[in-house]
Amino acid sequence: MLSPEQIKVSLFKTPDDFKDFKCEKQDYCDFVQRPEEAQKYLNENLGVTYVFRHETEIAGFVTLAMASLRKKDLPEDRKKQKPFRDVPSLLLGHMARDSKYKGQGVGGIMMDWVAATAHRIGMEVGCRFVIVDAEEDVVERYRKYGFELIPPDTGNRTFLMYFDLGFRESLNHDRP
Amino acid sequence: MLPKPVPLLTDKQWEFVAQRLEKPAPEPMQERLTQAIENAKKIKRE
Repeated sequence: MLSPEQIKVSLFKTPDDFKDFKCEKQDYCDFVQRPEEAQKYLNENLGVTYVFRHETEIAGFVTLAMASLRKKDLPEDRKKQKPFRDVPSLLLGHMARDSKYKGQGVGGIMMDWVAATAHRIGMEVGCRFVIVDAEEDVVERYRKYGFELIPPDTGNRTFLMYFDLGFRESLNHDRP
Repeated sequence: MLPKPVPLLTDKQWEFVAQRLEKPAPEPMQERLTQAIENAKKIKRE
């Protein structure tokens, strides 16, 4: 098992860094290996990908963006009530680790970093949840970390999950 | 594959979220967050 001290995090630089990256989902490999995806998102500041390295090797990556939970159709009278139409959140868009790091705790280390980052953001701007729109095969992984399901919409093939950062008073930890 | 937009919430989901907002974070999440913050401090930023 790796410890957080053995991991370094940096901003995504170029798809060339990911030439040898292999993970369980080809879509996620494509995301970092094709110039029109992670790199374009970063350049346009629509989603920022962070790269986690162990020594010189890429162990995994996460992509973060601001997002909000919104209701489908809110009647006019409800728009004035609390809660507001949107619940500001940090979206964990992508998270993947290289297959050769399977079982070494990289996912947990990356998730800790994401939760701590959300906490830091929440100290500066409104941010109540970390949210992930999880495919069925990874729901248990997120649940194991501490995420909970929002009751599923049967019309969706994915599962919206949240990690609650809590009230502002409970955010009063030392900053990461 | 670019990140998908977050699905809009149904009535039932919105009620769940609205109730969640009124309460402090569940104890296990608070503990997890505290530990995450400590662990994240050990990750070196390049």
